[in-house]
Amino acid sequence: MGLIEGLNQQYQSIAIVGLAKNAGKTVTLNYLIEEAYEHNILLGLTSTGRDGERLDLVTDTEKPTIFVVEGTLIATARSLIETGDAGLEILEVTEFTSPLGHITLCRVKEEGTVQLAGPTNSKDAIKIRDKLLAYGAELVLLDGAIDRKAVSAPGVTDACVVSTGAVLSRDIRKVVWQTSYFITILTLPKVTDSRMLEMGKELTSSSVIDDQYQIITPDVKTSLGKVNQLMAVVNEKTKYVYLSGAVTTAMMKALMMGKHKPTLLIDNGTQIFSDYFNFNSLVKKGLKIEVLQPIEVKGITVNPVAPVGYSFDSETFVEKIKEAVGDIPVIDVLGGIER
Amino acid sequence: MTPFMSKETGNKLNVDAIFDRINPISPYGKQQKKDMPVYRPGQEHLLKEEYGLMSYMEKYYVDREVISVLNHSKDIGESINRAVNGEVLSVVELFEVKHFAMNTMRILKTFRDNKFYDSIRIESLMDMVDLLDPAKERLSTFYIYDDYSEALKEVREQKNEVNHELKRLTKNVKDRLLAEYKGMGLRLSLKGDAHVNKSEERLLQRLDEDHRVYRSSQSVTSIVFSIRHTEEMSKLEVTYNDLKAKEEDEEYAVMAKLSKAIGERQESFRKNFEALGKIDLVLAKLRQAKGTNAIMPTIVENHCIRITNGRHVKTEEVQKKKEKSYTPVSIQLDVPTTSITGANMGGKTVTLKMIGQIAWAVAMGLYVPAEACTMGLSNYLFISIGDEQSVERGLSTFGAEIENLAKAFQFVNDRSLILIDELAGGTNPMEGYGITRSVIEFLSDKDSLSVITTHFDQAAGDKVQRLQVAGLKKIDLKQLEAELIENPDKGMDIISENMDYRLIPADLGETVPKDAINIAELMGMQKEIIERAKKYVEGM
Repeated sequence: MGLIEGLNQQYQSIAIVGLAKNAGKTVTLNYLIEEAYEHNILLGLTSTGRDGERLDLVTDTEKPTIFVVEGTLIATARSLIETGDAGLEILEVTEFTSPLGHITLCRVKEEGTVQLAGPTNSKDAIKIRDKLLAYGAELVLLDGAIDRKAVSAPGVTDACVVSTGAVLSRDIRKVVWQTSYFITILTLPKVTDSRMLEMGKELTSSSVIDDQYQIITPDVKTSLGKVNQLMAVVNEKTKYVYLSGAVTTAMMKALMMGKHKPTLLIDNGTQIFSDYFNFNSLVKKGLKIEVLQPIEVKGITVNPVAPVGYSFDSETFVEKIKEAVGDIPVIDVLGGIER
Repeated sequence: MTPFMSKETGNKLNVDAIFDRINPISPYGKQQKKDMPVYRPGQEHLLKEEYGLMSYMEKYYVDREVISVLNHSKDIGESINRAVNGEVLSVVELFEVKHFAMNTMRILKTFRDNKFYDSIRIESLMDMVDLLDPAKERLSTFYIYDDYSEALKEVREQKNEVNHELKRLTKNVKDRLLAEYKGMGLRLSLKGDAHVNKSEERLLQRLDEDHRVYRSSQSVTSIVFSIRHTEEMSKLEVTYNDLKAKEEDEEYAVMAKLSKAIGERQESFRKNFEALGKIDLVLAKLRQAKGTNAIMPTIVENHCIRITNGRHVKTEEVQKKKEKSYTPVSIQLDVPTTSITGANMGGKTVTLKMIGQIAWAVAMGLYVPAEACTMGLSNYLFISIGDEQSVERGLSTFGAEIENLAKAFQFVNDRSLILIDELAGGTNPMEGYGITRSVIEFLSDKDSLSVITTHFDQAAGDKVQRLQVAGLKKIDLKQLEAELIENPDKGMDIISENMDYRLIPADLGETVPKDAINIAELMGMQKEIIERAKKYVEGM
């Protein structure tokens, strides 16, 4: 079985998010493109949050080009239109800019290769996604950034596929830990209290919410003192502490210091800046986190080869990741092993 | 030619409060804003034509179609230049040229009843639309369509046939491989590549023995097998690559042909750039005018200025922000020189700025913030107001003033507009009076309009129009004092609320005005000082 079949029925757009550079994101994209072709799915392709990744031609390691078939819709920077050998019909030069020129929408008339460099922020990415859908794409694949900025707005795509790889560490255990931690924070559970979920849409700054759904928003001056100011108004009636912006290990620790331990409420998992050990130890101590916008991770692709030369045994690697992440399908897109 | 006014004069008049509100939408309009002409004496007919055009365009000022066309206009000037120079435009450039041509065709109809104004006349680019839309689909998309050349169509058909055949043969091999290797975990990519993990020894061995595939590359953990081309497939591939190269050549030939045709129409493109820019700028001027309730002035040949209820836009905005009212001022300048006297805080400086700002607006072909305005154009515009900058330059207030005036007076017989605030206010009253009187006399028979505000009531001679600020005169001072006792900090507000900023003919009968002392009192000056000052003034 493949990834795309299930995805296409449920979602209109999928982001591919890499844990690190060379984690195999582009291989994953090509893999999904092939699957889409086999299943006759008309794709829209773009990328986002690119920080000069493709521009870096000197250090560029073997980066596969993207092969697209007739009918595929792409959104890429103007200056990249004539770099590939695919025949492209120009549909629209948008007002959205990128370091490589205005984002231009094209339809593939003659199959061949293309290069993608899409919008640089998630607001533009949403509009580009909608344009691709409007031009007839059945599923939009968004080549996400190597950092978490791309997914920091889960509103851009309905779900994501995460790419991880040996490049993260020479120690396979560390790669598994980092991957598992990343998946855990991305897939933090949606707030169960439906009234809170509804109210959450209105929340903009860090607040404390009690069991009568009263919202107290202290005038917070600095993000450092934020949690302490919030904790000052926490009492036995407090149900949630809502934090906007980045949530660090120190902030979560401060939250656990008080007598009362309300549930931490955040917009989505990408706000959390911690690490595997600290995060797990906090969870063990009873830290409860719920999110307003859960992120759906519908697959994990692994690249057992690091560009500097070392590698893991593909089967073992896939097996270990699978053990750590549970229900999510894990695929070695190079070796074809899937669990 | 000396500029109409210096940057400094513009700053002092706060013309940016108007100029920055003129916001064209398209790159062509933005360019024209930078190149806006200044209308000077002798160009009245051009200015009248401009106002006529603005009046004609008023009905389009919120026309959606026109605004949409302007919004979608991109700067294709560089592409046209390249085409003219014989360069070949890229596919995206051709798309943009097509888009521009279709876009301008949309407003060709809008102004079809325009008989007088050549500057906004759009030329038809229908031939360009047809050129870039050979199938007459009237879509704004662009591709090197098959319709452009039989040769291109043919080569593409052949290429696709060959590709199809190549794919069919590959698929046959793939299907057979997949069938034969069923259950062994063989996966083939679109191209027919198989990534096989090194640990799968049985599969590796079998693939190695299979003549239909070969090891094409390998990584540390896996080996990639590719489908070995049969002789037939190899031939097809060679043909395919040849055809692909031919296709590219044909495409290039088409692009070159299109670029040449576009270059030959450069004149029409450039005319349309100008016309679009003009339409855009005029609409932007009209939007600004609506925003400040500005009206079209009447232009006359002789040098005069008549303003009914004129407003200084910047001051009005500041007042509005403070939720305070603003009193418009009327003034007529029919003789060369006008003097304005009157109390401090009586708005004399603002009146000068208002006159200058309206004169500037007319020279720029803008509507003016007034109820009515008749104006004869000036060659130059000067204003002298004490400011911090000259002090920073190391000049005393007086020194800077004299330096500026000396410059302005070089043009005193060139139909200038000269505005002087508090002439010689920064020096001793005896000499100040002398200088003021002498300057007023000097200006009163020159070919310029000048307005001078001064505290020296007696400085103006008979040939001069003498005006004064109505001031606090008609107001009951006792009542004001009572108000002040209730709100001791509100001195400024109470004065401005009770100040009549309008100009009236100067009352020459009353020898000594007392507004300065009254205002000093209202502003909270010690009683003792006020009493003494009154006594000294009475003794004069």
